Amino acid sequence: MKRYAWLALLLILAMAVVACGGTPTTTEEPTISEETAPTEAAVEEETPAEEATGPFRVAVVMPSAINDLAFSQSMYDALTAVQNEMGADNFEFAYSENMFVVDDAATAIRDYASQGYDLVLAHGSQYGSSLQEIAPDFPDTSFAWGTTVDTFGIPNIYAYEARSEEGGYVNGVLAAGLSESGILGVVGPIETGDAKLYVDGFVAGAKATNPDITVNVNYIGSFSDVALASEAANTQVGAGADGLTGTAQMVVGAIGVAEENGVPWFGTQSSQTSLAPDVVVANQVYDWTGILNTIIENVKNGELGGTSFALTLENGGLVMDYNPDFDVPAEAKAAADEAAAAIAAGTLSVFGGETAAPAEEPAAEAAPITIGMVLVGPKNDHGWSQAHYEGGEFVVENMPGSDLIVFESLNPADKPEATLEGVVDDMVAEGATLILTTSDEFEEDTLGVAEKYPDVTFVNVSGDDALTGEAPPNLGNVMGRMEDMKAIAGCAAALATETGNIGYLGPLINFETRRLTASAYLGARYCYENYRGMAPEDLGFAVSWIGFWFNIPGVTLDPTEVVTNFFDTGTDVVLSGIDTTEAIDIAGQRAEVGDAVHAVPYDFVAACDIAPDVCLGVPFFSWGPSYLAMAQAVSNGTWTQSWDWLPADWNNLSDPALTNVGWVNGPALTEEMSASLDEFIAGMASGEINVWAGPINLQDGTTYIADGATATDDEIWYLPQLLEGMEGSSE
Amino acid sequence: MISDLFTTTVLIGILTSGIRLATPYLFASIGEMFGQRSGVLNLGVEGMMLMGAFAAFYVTLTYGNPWLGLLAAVIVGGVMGLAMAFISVTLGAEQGISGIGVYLFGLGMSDLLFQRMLGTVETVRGFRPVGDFFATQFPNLLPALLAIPIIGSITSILAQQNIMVYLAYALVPVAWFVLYRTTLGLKIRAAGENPAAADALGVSVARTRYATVTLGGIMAGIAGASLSIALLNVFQQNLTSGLGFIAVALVYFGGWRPYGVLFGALLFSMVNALQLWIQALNIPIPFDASELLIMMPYVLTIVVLIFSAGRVRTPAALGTPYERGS
Amino acid sequence: MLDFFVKYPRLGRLFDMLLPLLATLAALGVGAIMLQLLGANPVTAYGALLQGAFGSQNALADTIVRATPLLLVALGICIAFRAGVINIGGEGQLVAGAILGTLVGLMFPEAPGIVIVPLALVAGFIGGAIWGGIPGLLKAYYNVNEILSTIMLNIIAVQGMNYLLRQPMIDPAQAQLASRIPQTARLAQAFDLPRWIPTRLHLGALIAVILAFVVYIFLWRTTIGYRIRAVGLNPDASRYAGINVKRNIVLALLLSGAFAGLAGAVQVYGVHHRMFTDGSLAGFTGSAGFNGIVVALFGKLNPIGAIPAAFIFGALIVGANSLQRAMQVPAALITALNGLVVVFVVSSDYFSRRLARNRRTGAETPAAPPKSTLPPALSIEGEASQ
Repeated sequence: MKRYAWLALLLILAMAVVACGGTPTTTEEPTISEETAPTEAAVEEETPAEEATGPFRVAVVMPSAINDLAFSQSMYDALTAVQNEMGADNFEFAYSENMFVVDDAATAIRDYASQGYDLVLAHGSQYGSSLQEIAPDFPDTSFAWGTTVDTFGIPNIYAYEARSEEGGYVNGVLAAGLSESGILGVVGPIETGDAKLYVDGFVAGAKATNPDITVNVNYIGSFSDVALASEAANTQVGAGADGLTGTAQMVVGAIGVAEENGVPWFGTQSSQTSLAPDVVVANQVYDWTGILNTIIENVKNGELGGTSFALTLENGGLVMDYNPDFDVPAEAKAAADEAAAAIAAGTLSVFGGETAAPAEEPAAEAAPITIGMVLVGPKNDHGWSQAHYEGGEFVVENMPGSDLIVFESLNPADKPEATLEGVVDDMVAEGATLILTTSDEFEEDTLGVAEKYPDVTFVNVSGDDALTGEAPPNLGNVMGRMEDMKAIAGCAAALATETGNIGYLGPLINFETRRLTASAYLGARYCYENYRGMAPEDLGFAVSWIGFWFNIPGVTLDPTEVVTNFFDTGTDVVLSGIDTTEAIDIAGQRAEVGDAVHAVPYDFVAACDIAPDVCLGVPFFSWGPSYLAMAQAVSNGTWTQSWDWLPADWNNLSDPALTNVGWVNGPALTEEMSASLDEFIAGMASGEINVWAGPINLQDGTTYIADGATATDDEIWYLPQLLEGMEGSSE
Repeated sequence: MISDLFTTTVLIGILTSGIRLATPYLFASIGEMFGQRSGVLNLGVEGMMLMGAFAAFYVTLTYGNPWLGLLAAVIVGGVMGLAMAFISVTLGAEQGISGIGVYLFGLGMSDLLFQRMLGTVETVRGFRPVGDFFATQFPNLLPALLAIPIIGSITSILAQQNIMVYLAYALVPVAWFVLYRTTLGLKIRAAGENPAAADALGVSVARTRYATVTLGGIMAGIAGASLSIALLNVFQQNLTSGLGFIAVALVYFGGWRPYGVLFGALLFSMVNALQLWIQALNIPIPFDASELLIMMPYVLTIVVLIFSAGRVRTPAALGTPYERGS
Repeated sequence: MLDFFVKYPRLGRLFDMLLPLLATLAALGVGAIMLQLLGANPVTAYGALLQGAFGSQNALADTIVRATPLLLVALGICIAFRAGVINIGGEGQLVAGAILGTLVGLMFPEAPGIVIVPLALVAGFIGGAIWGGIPGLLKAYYNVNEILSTIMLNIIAVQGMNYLLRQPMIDPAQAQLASRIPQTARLAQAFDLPRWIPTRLHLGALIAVILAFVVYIFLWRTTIGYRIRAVGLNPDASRYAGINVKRNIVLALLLSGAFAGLAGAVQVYGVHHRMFTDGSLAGFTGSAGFNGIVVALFGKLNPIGAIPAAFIFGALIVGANSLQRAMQVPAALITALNGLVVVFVVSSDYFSRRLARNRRTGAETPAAPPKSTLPPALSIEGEASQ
């Protein structure tokens, strides 16, 4: 018996010999030679000066094997590609694979850092807390980790993520297009991280294409159980699925099932076509090379971190890789291409809303808080203040138990005795932990109270202290990107005017009002030229500033008189830029006596109700979604200072529950006008139309935006004057 | 809806999946059962399965014949079993721990071989469902059978399985016969119950244990092959992912009896299939916790045992090395 | 050769003590061949291993940090195996302890560390005790084999952990994001176990070493310890002696789990400062629940012996990873090598027993089974079936 046993041992040793000595069939073998053995290099390479001249050295720590056809392989392939690009003399990399034990990974990360690698990649979201601890010990080394967006605010950490929901969405569109049974199946590991994003995106894409489709999801509770993944796929097929997808390294089992049953498969992370060439339709392939090149470039320039990157369809980090051998029906392919293009252009948001997280879930989890809100006007002004007030109400609805304390009409005319400080004192005493000061009038005073109450979060609407760095860390700014809506308003006015003269009822003069007014003008000019076929120089656009956000008798001009004056002097459309409704009030009255005039009110979504017959539409603010996000963040202790200039949700432009700024077509638009306006809006949404494209000259004739250029955010935000072609004062 | 579960499609689906899922457990557990019956606990099943799975996959990929692959799995599993026998019988090493060592060795070695000899995940054409065979040989037979109400359902379940599945189930009565109706079976049981007495009666305890542990290795190898060239047709690092440990647990569940093991493997697999179906049918789960479903087979295995384990007795000498005085 | 040691018993005892080490070296010898075949110079490779495990203050600290949970788990294993029960549920027990321990810190973020940390460690102890007590009760009163129940409970624990970290315990910051990384918030810094700056060595190591002595005293100097060992040595005789066998089995598994649970809490408060999951057990535990068994065996089931055993095993793990980095050999080789070490060490006991038998020269042929380091009743049950 023993003889056989020894034989067995010999055989096992023979196997070991085969294992270690056998020729690998992989084409690219990492450099095993001792020349690149980091231990030796480390001893020599102590001085950073040497690093600058030597090759760029990257180390990566990965949770699974470099040949997993999934997450780890995507990074390994990218590093190899970068090496091929830069040449082995200029770029070296070392890796630790199968570092699923976080302890081991932490040691590896620390070790690589102490060996003087220029960049250490922690390629797994579970490594975050280790990195957070290690990175500050090596301030001269750059670290990057993913997939996440969190750099912990540490200056030498980069974060990277794959927006896998984007390709998931495209795959979903494809799958829904191919499906005849109306049932799709998904095999996922655990409902977290990258896998969750992909699966959620897939479901969203399928549902968007066919609202009646059923997408069944199996989470099998493991990243490695190939057998269970395979049986889950069998179950999906049994349940009628005629399209399958899945993510993480255990899905190779599910792909086999797809092939066996001839069910189309949609891949992600790496290309899985080779596993089942007959059934793989398309893969979302992660290509990290772009991000790697950017990070490497930054590190070479001495910038070691602080930024987060994302693979997206737009930046080419996510690539839809179609299997050439699979015949996709032209219609489905077209729909998928369209979805991919729209996502890349930013006109299609995978999850509908501004933030990717479904709104209801965090809302249920966040504890109620008390919110203070300071309004510049009355809360029922049908304008600016009411829009904020309703945003506050929206938060209370979605965070049951929360309190909203409102202080109305804080302005020298209505309440000369009240100060912002006094109001805030009272609110803090009542327990407010988030205080919204909803006017740039309060910008300076908010700075003062924010310093006084460092534990309370303040958000000043439309200010820029958080952008300029003046604000203490508990003060942030928010503003909606109303400029785009104003351009639509201007366009509507240009479409409606018969006299060719548009009036703009402006409040006071500052950066905000200048850029809004200018946007309206640019929109009007574009539409006047392109839809009306008139010469843009012939368009009259007069701005009349009243001096404040609303009428304060004796202090400001009377907006009623200003509007009346407009209509009396040949202007037939008035755009309102103030908080109250005089423009549409007067227009309504004039229409009743037979004048052909129109108006575009402002701020409040239902403002057209005042005089529907003259209303061309209304650009409005909807503060609910952004206020809710702030309140939840404050409640959870995750609020951080930011300066937010929130864009519209172009897909839901008229839904105040989803968009931050919006536009509603008014009843006074004719069908022809509506069609032109919708075309304009679609062009804005897709990015084809940019009214801020040069040439744009300032009022004094100087060139502001050159021909061929488009204005940057800063150039729009800090517009110094009105534009050439506009009448009215700039200062 | 819960009621969605009670349709013919779903019930057939659960049976088909359950039968298929149980296959690797059956091979591995029956093999392990023989070892334990003779007194040797082998916790290295998982490692042997991995080695067998790789060997079968590699040979099938290279030569295109799954039977050759199966043979490779038998040889590699047998060699691993022989080594385990040497460690646990001749060297008398503590069995549970040496099993963990063998597991780790198999886990690492199969991965190393995979990386050096293949390098990337590939698929292979392994054993096909028997239905494919009948469909080509007797094209009229299957459609005819499937049309009959109940027989059709049964046919559908049977036709979707491959030959390895049939082998696994055929093994159960064979194992029962060997264990209870042959001299070899008697020797095995004697070696596990009272090795000293068996020795006195002229049974070579060492030889018997060598035989059962090697057999266990062979069966573990076949279990691995049933994954890599029949059920999944793919090999990947850590392909078995804990299956081998469940197989060991099922031996205890089955009370060291072939039919008990069969019952345990089927129960475990059917419940696993059920939980997959509950998710696939979008039936609401409490707290939205798919994990609760995934736990089900594991929890149920324990619960069932609580109510049934009363009279089961462990082989008395299990885990104890035996060495006759020299 | 063995005769030589019989002749010189002192050298024989030394040989006995050094056997695990010699076996490890032998396994590494086989590993050297494999390394050579992979194109890596074995000398450089093992140099990197030693360098990685002991080469610097930081390396040494890492080794000890890695050895700490191994030692704690091994202490529990000593108790269980001495009582004749095989506990392979250390992984699940470790996680249960970590979760309960983390909860304490999350619930009272404002409380002083001096109160919370001991409370959390006790919570970890209790969490592990619960997860270990279940198989104990099942074995003692329902005749459910502990190997089966601990394997199953490991998987139940990992699924439970995934759920808790994905839903109720998730970091509120992560809950805001679409990707929702499954981890808790970072525990308050005041709760971090004190560290030996500038290394990562934390107080947990000291706690583990002290507890090793406590367990030793418990097993060999207290009545309860004596009873537990008696049950392991001979359950039938113990029963006749009036010892409640069932209760002692439950107690042994419970304590065994408790030490694993404590290891989990120590990992949270000493190393990670939060709980997280990668979907598997090993990501968090580092397989300490399994490796702890091997460590206990290395230490011949003696709590004091487990101290150097844990250290050596910790060094092996840390050093092997360093070897992977230095030589860029596949991680799979390290796993295989790890398996070889375990097999060699556990097999080396053969020589130890042969030596013991040869020493009894002149004695008549022993009829009883050979003396093993393990209690003969290991894995024998049946006492619950009457």
